[in-house]
Amino acid sequence: MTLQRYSVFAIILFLIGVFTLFSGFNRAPFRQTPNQEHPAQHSQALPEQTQTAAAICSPVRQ
Amino acid sequence: MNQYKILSWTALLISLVLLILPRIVPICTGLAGGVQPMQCHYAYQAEFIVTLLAVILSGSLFVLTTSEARLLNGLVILLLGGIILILPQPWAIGICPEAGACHKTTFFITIGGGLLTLTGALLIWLNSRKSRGEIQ
Repeated sequence: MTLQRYSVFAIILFLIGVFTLFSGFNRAPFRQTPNQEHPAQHSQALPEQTQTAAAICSPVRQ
Repeated sequence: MNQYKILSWTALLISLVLLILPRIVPICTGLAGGVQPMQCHYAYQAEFIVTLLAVILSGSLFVLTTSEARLLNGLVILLLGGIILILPQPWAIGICPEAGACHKTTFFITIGGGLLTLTGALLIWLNSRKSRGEIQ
């Protein structure tokens, strides 16, 4: 295989990868239930503390 | 099989394992507040792109012929391995602060990223020796 032919293959592979990323096949699907993810958020916490813990584990920092 | 081929296959295998790792050892599947993905989702989306690039570059090791090109490729693979190690750090994108599924995934990806970095370094060393004419 020549470098030129490999380059075409690489571009196709990259596009497949981007599509995989877009469609979410690269990761396990999100759970639809509202169950808490992390043990620290379970049972012992009061509802306010649970929401605070959820906020800590969230998402994108501003 | 010569040393270069062994390193090329090693880089390709490590990259492929890293690419599919989040499917085998999944990260957190919950949503923060039931609405938005957590930090680890974004970190591993970025990891996917980086490992995809590592796969492509590792594959190109089999078609490159000159020592200079192979050396440069090894350098980029080394840097990509470094990026794989950096992304889950809290000062980069980060993962969940509490213990969770993403910590387990990060453990394995850290090992893989380290091995990929080492493979890149060995590729650089091997091809710098070749380009200096020390070995054939």
